[in-house]
Amino acid sequence: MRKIFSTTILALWVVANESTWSAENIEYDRDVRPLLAKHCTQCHGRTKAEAGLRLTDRSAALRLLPSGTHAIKPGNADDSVLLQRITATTETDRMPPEAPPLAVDEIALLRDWIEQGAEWPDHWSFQPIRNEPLPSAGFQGARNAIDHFIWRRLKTAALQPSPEASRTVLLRRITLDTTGLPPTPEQMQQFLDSVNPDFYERSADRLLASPHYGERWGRHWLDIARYADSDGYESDRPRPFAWRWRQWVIDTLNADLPFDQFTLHQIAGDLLPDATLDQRIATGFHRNTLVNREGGTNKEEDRVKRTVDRTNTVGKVWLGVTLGCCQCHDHKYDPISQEEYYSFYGFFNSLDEPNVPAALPNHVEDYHRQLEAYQQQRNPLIAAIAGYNSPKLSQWDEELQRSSGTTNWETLKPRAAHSQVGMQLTVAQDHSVFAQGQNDKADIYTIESDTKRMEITSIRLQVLADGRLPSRGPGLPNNGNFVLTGLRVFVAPMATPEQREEIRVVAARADFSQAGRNIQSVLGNGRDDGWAVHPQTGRDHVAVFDLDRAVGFPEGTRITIQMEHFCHEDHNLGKFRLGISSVPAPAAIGPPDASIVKILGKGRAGRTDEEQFRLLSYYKYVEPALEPLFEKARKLSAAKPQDPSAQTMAQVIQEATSRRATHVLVRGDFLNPGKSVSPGVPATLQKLAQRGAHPDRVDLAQWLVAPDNPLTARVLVNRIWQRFFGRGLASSEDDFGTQGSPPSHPALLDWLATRLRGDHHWSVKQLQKSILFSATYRQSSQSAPHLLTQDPENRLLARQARLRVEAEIVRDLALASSNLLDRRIGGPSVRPPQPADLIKLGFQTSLSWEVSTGGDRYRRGLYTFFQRTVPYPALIMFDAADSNTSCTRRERSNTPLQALTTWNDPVFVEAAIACGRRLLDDVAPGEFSLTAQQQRIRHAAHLCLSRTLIDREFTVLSELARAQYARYRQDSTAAQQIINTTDFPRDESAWWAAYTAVARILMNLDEFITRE
Amino acid sequence: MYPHNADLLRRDFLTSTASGLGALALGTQLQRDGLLANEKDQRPLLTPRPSHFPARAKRCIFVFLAGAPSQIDLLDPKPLLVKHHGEPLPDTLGEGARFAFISKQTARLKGSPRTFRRCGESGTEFSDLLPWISRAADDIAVVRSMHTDEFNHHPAQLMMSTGVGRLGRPSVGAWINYGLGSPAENLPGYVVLSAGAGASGGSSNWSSGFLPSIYRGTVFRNQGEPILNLSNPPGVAGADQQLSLQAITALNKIRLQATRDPEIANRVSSYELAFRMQTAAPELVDLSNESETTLRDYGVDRKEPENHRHRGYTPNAHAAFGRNCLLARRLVERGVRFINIMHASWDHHDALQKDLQYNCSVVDQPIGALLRDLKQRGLLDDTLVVVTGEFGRTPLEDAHEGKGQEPGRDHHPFAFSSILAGGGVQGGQVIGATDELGWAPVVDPVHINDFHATLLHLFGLNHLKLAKRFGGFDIRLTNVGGRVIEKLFAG
Repeated sequence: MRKIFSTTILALWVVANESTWSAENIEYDRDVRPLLAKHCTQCHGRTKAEAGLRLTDRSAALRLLPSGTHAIKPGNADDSVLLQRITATTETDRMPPEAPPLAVDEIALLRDWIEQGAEWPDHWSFQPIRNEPLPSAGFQGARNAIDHFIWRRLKTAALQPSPEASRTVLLRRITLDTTGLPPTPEQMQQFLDSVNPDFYERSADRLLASPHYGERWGRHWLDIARYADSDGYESDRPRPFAWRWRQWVIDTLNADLPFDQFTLHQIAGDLLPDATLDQRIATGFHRNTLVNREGGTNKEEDRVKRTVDRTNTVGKVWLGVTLGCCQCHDHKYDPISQEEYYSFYGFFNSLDEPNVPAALPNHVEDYHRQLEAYQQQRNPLIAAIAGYNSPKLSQWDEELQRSSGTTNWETLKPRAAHSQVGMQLTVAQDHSVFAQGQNDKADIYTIESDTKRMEITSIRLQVLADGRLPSRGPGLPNNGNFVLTGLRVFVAPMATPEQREEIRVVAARADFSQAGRNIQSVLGNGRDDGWAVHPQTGRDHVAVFDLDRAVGFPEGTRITIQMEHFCHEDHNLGKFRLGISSVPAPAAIGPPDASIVKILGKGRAGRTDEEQFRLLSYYKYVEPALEPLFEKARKLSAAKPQDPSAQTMAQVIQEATSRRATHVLVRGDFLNPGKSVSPGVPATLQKLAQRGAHPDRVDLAQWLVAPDNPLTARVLVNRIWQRFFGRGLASSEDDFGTQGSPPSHPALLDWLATRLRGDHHWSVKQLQKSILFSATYRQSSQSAPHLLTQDPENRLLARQARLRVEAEIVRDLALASSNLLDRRIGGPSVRPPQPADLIKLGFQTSLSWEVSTGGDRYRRGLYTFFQRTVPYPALIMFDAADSNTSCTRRERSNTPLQALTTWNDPVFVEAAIACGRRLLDDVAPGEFSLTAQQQRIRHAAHLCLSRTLIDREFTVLSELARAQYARYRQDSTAAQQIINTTDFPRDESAWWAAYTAVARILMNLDEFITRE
Repeated sequence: MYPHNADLLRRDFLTSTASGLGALALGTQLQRDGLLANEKDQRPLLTPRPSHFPARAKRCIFVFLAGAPSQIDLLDPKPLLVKHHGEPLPDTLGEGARFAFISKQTARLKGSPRTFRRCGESGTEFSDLLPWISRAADDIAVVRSMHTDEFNHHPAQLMMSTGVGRLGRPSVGAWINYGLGSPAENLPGYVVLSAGAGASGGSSNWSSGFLPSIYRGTVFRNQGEPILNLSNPPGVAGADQQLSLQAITALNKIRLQATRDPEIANRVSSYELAFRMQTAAPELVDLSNESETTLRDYGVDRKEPENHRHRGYTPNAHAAFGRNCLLARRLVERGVRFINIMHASWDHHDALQKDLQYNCSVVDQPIGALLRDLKQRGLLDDTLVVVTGEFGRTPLEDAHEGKGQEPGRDHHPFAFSSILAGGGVQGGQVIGATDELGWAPVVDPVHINDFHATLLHLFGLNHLKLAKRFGGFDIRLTNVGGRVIEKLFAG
């Protein structure tokens, strides 16, 4: 039966797998499980057990069936019903039903397997990590243990490792892999010239210590964490502080925080005793989920979605298992039930999601320095103000103390209310005025009242909400807003009202002003500016206007107040009430703060300088002699350093004060809670060591990195390996479950995982160093023809891989080669140029893309603001992570739109122009001799490809440069268009244009965007 | 030039093994033959490849009316609803129902004021708001029993575009190009035409998800260059760009010889296609060769009405949508596999009749013209045209905002109507039916997964086989469902 395997095919089989099936050597995981999964377990698995048969583990499969038979009898294929059924000749008996029969070789394999005893070990990745012995040495040229594992395997396939890559390729490779930037020509020269035997290791050490390392590897972690700068979904609101977590990632990776701590802080930083700000920021990992803020969204549904995402992401990132399907039902393939899923989910089911102040440490330091300088300037000024005295002030103070600081408002009772355009103004019982009518013209309201009060110092205007007004007012337009453009005050003796006099309003304040419509603007003469309260319409507000001087007539005063609404035709007030006060410069609203009353009560002598100043400021005490000092104080306080903790926030999680009960959600439906469960981990894996009565996220984090956890270390090692070779030792890096591909080099994977947890104490940099130092990593990536045929996927690693760099690095390379790159590390996200209409492709027309200026225009790709619904095109074109779900491996596609991007996108064109300029400036400035021309072409290759051109390449480029020079010498307008300036002589412009063309070609080569 | 090096190289490499491609597939760990398309296929990703079985449709124009048009006022007449207009919601219907804005206590039935007319020989009923589309009644199948799982716009649009209501999955256009490649030699296989306000889903509606980005929809822009970065930079003439291409190709070839990495050959092909697109795309959007009649039929010069207080109003919505429909026909002629025409703002919570009228006046004439034009040119036989929203609207009045506005209708995932024509669809028929109030399908319910399964079937693709492994699963457009609706097919 096995004859169908021709020798050729067998040879291929041999190279593609670390070991091979022959009749003597069947491995369940590799050979049998895929067949059962493909043909059987859909009906005889964890979810369904047709005829009582579950092919989930050995004991279940060997069990006596209800029919009294055995599906599998080890050592006796003919008595095994499984084999009888798959080989049955009649359609009704044959398994699988309604499907083609198994292939002959598949049947043969199952037969042999049963005959040999139906060995069925637990799935490899759920078994403890083995402390693998080193393969016996004896491989010449091996640099460390990794090579022994790799080469032992190559030997069995009769393959040789490739020679070491050239020094130029090596330095570019490690520089890209560790920092994502190209080596500078100087670094390359040093590297090439070095006679030190450990020149390579020293460079690797230097690069791992580079601050750009955190950017490079941070971006990998951002992929995994589905990081973005906006919420996603329809609203897709920006998240102005998402970057703060990114900053933490960069800093933390640079510091090589051991991965067990890295895990603990992100999973449970908030729960650690005396959690530091950094530990809390770390939990921002879980805030990268999408949030749906579309109108009509059920908040609980969205919270459940976020919790599900958190559960699945932790499962995928740390354990490498796919939990998602258990949301609705038991896992079909892996030993995880739906109940276990919701137990795991329980760890994340009671989270609050606040934003907390999270200033960067250097900003806090700066702040404290500035604050000290500020205080030194301010203190003498305050002392001067507090030291001031006058009879008026004493009298004011005493009067205020007598009234306990209350400002004694009297409501005006209007005797007449008049609208200039004929609106109807009605005075109500409570003396408020209500406006009705057409409301289509700018209006002036004139309100006349009489009062006995003397020494009137301030007018109070209460604008009032009312259900009769559109949007509850207090204005008349549909949105409830108004614009008060002016307020004029006239007084006259009550007996002779015609002798009226206008009193100037000198100060104004309000409890709230709309942005751009400040209360102060009422004081000016502008007809277009005034006070408004959007978006706080629909509720009461109050404003106070201070008069130039105290007014009032002994026999009574007629006070006339004109309120102007000039700004729009309909933004008139709908309801309001007026009042007056006779305490000089009373505070705006209501009774004074308790703290002010307390200060007041201390009496003048008992107050500190600061208290006296506060008191005077609070009541806006006015006296000419004090004005210059107050003016100075106002100016100074405008320059008061801003507390950075109020400006930089971090998105974090914390445990809610009351624990939410967790239920299995039937079919994943949040409206359909089933059995109640408590937080826990899948029983297949090691037990949870819980610290208290209720397992929490600290327990979970420690469980993930516990010595007996079989998955976390393997998954991490595999992913790091993948970054250096293009694929993991297990190629399904996101699925270590039974459906994933088993590792090509299981012993090496376990050896590295053991070392990571043991010798390296979870230091990721140590692990990376051991990979970087290996001869396996240092191999050439050029494919010998026999390797392309024998091992096209390069599973056996007889060579390195050529890998197109990630989207962000494509950008970084162009900016670095042209020297445009702004190398600052960290900080908020930036917006490099993109066509203005692109951002409008989303639903939110409110989204905007204000192109960053200065150095922020040229930051590395990972700092580009990631708007989930309309991501930056150059990133998406090159397969950047879409940030919607955790991404552990990116596609590396190769498309014409990518070509158009690097060819024509203004960002890349600008880089080519800058690089062209650099060639002119770096090499023999001002000279255009043949030698200079040749040197420039060679320099271009050093800048863009980090290597020297071979002759054929040199010819192509220098011929092109000469041809383009000739063309642009002739057409100087075109040359000026290219270099975007007319400031240079004809000849220099033409050369610049020609070198721009050269740079543009180099930046469009496959090699430019490939790590070789 | 450097035409077929990539193929040559690959052929060398494949023929040098005894058993060719088949042997390679055998050597892989899991023999998922048939289950996973393309997994080990080394051909350039857009190379046309055979379908699973003979295809009826070769291309698709998918008109997405985002925001959800009211089926009750357009395609699913409900006389009983008109009769009970203004009455409270019957208890039986309120049970388990969710609304975005309506409250159950105050919900009132809302009949449609539109008149419905039987059209064509088949007599399918269309609203008076669709005078142009209804002329193609005999070519159209109206599915009145569509339903979806998602309730909010973005998730529902994702469901319609990608089969699940979550971000991160490939869209229909991406799947079809992944399965079949594209015969368009100088243009992308999947083009998106968007006019007016954007859809809530934004670009996630034409995402390639976890598939390579070549399968992502390429947006043809309405202003400036038709494809992003299509034009040469200032000062670079066509001849310069050609020189640039030649040098890039020559240098890539040298590197290919040194490294023997077939990916470089792919890169060379990408640059060549990019260069050809630089000519082909401007030619495509140049309508000067279209006849007066054609331009008038599609309404590419229609003026915008004076009153522009409409949801979805943009200064040139009429003209831009007409132009996009004409461009879709031109793309079809050039072999482009999948075309998305996006038109948003059908979310009529208020001012229903006024705004519906406006939107219909934008889209009805061009879609009608497109159907007729395709038919006249013999393209309708193998070009599938789909017109749909992401869900439907309630038979209930939504009076939540509307100060002085006519109340509209709320979101309704339980039932909506879609239009299909051409590409092997039997025209002149109505599939499925909703109950008398239009609440839920009572005959032949069509879930979106069923809808997609059917669509793939028309392209000769088995929706169970068109899958790609991601995150540990074999993922398909139809998620875990999908049932082919045979009734739709022409005999």
